[in-house]
Order: sequence, then structure tokens, then C-alpha cells
Amino acid sequence: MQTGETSFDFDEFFHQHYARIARTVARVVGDPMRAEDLAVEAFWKLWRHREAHGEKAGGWVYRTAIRLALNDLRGAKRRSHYESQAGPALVTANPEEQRAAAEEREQVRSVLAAIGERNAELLLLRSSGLAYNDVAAALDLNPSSVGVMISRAQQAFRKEYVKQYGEK
Amino acid sequence: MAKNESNEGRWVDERLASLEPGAEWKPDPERGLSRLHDRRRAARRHTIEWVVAGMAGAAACVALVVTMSPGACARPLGCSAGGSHPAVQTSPGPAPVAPPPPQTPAPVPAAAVAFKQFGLPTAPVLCEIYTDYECPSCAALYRTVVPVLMERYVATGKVRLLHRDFPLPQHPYARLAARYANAAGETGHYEEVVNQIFRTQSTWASDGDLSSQVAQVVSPEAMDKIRELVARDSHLDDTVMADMSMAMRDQIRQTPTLVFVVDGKRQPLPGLPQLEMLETYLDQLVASAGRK
Repeated sequence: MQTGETSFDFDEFFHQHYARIARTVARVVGDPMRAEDLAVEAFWKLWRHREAHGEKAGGWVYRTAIRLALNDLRGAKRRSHYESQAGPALVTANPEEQRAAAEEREQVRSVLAAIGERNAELLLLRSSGLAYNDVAAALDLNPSSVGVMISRAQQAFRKEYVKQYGEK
Repeated sequence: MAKNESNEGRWVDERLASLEPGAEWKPDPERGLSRLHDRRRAARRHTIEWVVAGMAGAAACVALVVTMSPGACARPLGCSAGGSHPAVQTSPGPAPVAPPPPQTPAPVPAAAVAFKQFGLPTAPVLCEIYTDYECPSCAALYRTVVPVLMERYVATGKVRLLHRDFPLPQHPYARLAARYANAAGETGHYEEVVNQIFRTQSTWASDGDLSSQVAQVVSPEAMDKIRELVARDSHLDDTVMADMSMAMRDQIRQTPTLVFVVDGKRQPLPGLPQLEMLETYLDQLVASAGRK
């Protein structure tokens, strides 16, 4: 579907970015089905927000998807529900390894939920493979300061992690 | 210091890597896009329902205002039929103000002459347009909406268009304009004369001099014939009366009003529609035609 007066091809954009965004969201919420729900939700918001169509659409939809995912993560009941399901990466691990990995994911998500939205956004965008410039575009930041901000976000993450679970 | 930061970065990356979903999980873009399209269609349907309901409500309000002050013409939406229309035999009681239902069973259609119809008889949707030649919103409809309908829907075989006359009593020259248009139809010049009458509405509406405006778009010979028909043909108003009779059955209360006929159901849309909304609505009607 073509949108607005611009030549922005929404369907093509969707095909280009959907899988990567769904996987990024899945890192936060854990459940693939829920991740796809939230990814579609992010694209739906993009569809309705015509001003974002164009060259900034990529950053816009990444940011929106991660915010949706982080909001979702803050629902503790849902999170525990997701964690009761086996993660797709662990099908070959033994039960003890599965339990340990699930515990690790729970702890990481708990820390992400506690370090502030901007810090979590920076870490998730960066760890999903976006370059500094793309992270800056997504979060509407000065590209020259993104490196410093990511570094601070990492410090905040580690500090919170140690505070909650001790040094490992 | 830099080494500490680097170590810290690696430590955090290792923790975050634990969140990586398994490689065997492949998000399905086709399914995602299909869900998005479904949602978009549902939202548009919802919006259209609200707009149609809103327009019907607005039409009811206008009808109420006009009933209280006969002769008024509400330009933003269209012109409303007052309670004293000579050709519409209304009941002697108070004029009804409730809007027509959004969808009604089809009354038996009044016969329509061929020159007032455009498009293929096999088109899945029939769009009947009730207008008054002196109504500003009707002129706007013919200036902005009808050309698009003709190009995108009528020429492509999706919609058949039917013009219906609904001259209102508060417009002294509307009936005369309809006579000129129908006389032009008898001579094979209906479309260009209708467009010319609407286009020059502000000029002839002050003095009723339609002849000089119509003469600009037809040959002198055709104009002589049109003048002759307007002056002498006692049957020229037959089609207008038939349209007015149909308007009664459709419960038309204002101009313009578009009536969509799909699978035997008549769905009136009063007022000047927004083009984008109308296109969405028509697309849905065309898609749904024949399914029921």
C-alpha cells in the first residue's frame, strides 16, 4: 500500500523490517507470539502516524516497538507467564541449564525494567545490531553523544544488576 | 578506564545476549501484514460508520433548523427540503426530523431516462445522486467529486451513476435549470450542460438567465432546439416528477444526497461527502456486492 503524497511503500517497508523488529521485541517480552503482536502494533501505529512515513520511519518504528515491549515487560504477571513457557533457544539444553537460562533472562529483563526507559532503549537498540547513527536516529539523539550515552546505560545496567543479584 | 568500560560493555552484552530468541523462530511477515491489513480495514469500516452516522445526524439537525425557518439553505452540508415543497406531498403534521435509516429495502425504482445514466448496466453498485441545480453544495459535488467518480468508478465498470432532480422550493430557478438540463438530454448534450449549469451557478442564480450560459457549451442549432423544448415541451418535467416521487420513497431531505444501491438495498448518504471517505466506502461496497 502506498501512503500519502510521498512514495513511501508501506508494505515493502514492513517486509524489510518486520522480522528484525519482532525479534528485538521478543528479546524483551520473551514470548514469540506476544512479540509478533507487539511488532504488528508498532507498525499499526506507524501506519496511522503519517508524519513518520519516509526516511525516518525505521527509527520511529524501532523506538515505538521497544517502548511497547518495555511497557509490556513492566506487567509482572505477564512476564511470569511468559517465563513459564520454554524459550525457543533452549530446546536442546538439559533441565538444569534451561532453569538457569530462564532465571538469567528473568534477571536481565528485571534490570532492563528498572534502569529507566531511555537506558533500556539504548541497550536494546544497540544489542539488536543497530549502528550508532541508527540508534541516534531512532531516539532522536545527537549521533556524537550516542557512544557516551550507551556507555552510561551499560554502567547503569551493571550497577542495577549487582544491586539486585550481586556480583557474578 | 577505557579498558574497564570495554569490559563492562562486554559484560552487559553477554547478559543481553541471553535474551536472543532461538534461530529456529522465524517471524512471519506475511501473517503480520495480513493482520495489519485486517486491522486497517476494520478501522476504516468503523470510521465510515461513524461518519455516515454523523452525517445522518447532521442532516437531521439541518432538517430541524430548516423546518423552523423555511427557505434557509445550509451551505456547508447541502440544501434541505423545507416543509412547503410544492412537488413533495408531505403530510400536514410536523415535518419528521429523524434521519432515514442507514440502509433500507429498495422501493421500486422510478423509471429513469437513459440520458441521466452513466456507466455499464452490469456495474455492481448503482449511485443515484439527488441534486438541486441552485444548491451550492451540489455544484461543489459536481465540481470536485463527480469527475473523480466518473473516472475511477464509472469508466472502470464498478459503478453506474444516475442523476436525479430534486429542485427545492427555496430556489426559484432550480426547476427551470432542470428543464434546461433535461432538454439538453433530449438533444444528446446532457452531461456538458449539467456541468455548465453547475459551473455557472453563481451567475445565473441571480437572474435565471440559463439560456446564455447553456449556449456556451452547445452548438447554435442544438441551443435552438433546447430553447424550443424548454419553452414548449409539456413532458419535459416528467422525469423531474419521477425523480421527486422516488425522493419521497427514499425519504430524501436535503441535497445533495447520494443513494447507493447494492444487491437490492438502498443506502442514502446525505450531504457533500469527503472524497477520500467516499472512495473508501465505494471500494467496500464494490467488494461486498454480490456476496450476500
